[in-house]
Amino acid sequence: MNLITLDRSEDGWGFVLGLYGIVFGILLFLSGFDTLKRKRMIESTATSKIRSLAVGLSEIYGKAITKKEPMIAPFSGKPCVYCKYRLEEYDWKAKYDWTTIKEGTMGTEFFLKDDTGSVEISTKDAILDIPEQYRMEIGRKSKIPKILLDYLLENKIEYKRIGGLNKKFLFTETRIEPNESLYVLGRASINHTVNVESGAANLIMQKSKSPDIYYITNKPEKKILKTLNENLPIQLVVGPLLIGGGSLSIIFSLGLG
Amino acid sequence: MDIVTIIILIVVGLISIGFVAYMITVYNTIIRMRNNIKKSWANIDALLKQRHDELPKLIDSVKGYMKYEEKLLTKMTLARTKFLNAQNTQEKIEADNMISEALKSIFAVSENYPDLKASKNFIQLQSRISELENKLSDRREFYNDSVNEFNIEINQFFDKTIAGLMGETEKKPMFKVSEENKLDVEIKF
Repeated sequence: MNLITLDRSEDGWGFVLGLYGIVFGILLFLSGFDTLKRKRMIESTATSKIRSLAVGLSEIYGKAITKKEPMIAPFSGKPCVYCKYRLEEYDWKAKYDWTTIKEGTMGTEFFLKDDTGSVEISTKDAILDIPEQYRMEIGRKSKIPKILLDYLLENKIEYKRIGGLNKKFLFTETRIEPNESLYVLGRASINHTVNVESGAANLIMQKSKSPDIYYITNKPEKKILKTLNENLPIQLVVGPLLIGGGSLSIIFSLGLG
Repeated sequence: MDIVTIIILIVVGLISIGFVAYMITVYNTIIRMRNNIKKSWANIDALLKQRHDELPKLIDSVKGYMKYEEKLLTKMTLARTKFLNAQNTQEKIEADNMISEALKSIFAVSENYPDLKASKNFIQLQSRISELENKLSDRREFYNDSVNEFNIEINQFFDKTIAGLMGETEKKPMFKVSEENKLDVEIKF
């Protein structure tokens, strides 16, 4: 077969779109298996009361409380038991894209309390299905809120460009607030560090290796399953259709069809 | 066979793989649910064993005070023996119901014996057994939830077919409170 050149711009677009379609279709299709696994795991596990939690794969529901004093989220200034934050700068010099210059988490362990007791939750390796609650883009001429300015100064981050204009920053934050209702599906394991006087169960929730799942969200179980049920046919049917459509697009753009 | 036909066959093949994956997850789910029921029963059994071990201490601590409650103490001893001799889940459930009923009666009648109520030993035992009863209640509820989810799963459209192929067609029984246990404890003064 001779090397075929894409000398018409619409053939070029057809090829590129086709390639995107195939890649996106494959990712969508494969993610469908993950959705299916998670949906089945949630459906097949009954909710435990924390007081009678047993070692092994468990599903619990309760309110988040801090281990010690409530923390303050760095960008929003709101109290939280867990916070994941990221500061990005728009890179003018080279990539013209956002670059992460600082990120971190606070409160990687906290307690979950229901009406029977409390248990420690570790967020390590968890899939945290919690929407981003804070997003602030600072433009060249924007006034920087005091709390964000204090953060930049404390962390010795240069925020002015030559000419006196601000650098372009994006502040994002995802947090779990005190007394926020959470759903946790993971493995209850023996906790050797718990203070018995705190009244907490001597267990800690963490990632389960077999089956491979650890899921924390602030949505109720019914809503989680509704979302997964809606996504599943899209992933398992639309994925293959995109692969097929992408392949056809490439074939016609190359003049093979 | 032209390229378009091949692509159509690939798309149909991928959708079929998705369908087969769904069937496999139904099979795995039923297996998981079946084992969850066994596990939740084993967790109840562990607590029943702990409660069972506390009972002789309770009987010994009340025997001296409740001289006129021999019938009640005998009922407790018989219930404990029935639990020891239980051969299957159903017999254990019946023995568990008898023990729960006897415990309810002992704690209610203990109100008539101020010296017993003030005894540190009795207070500790009562607290420990109450804690176990609360946990048992939670785990029975969890067991019933697990059984309920399993019974729903094996009767749902399409999943019922896979369950039938696995031989899972019968609903599993739930923990039920006996008619006697539903009645209030009669206290005679």
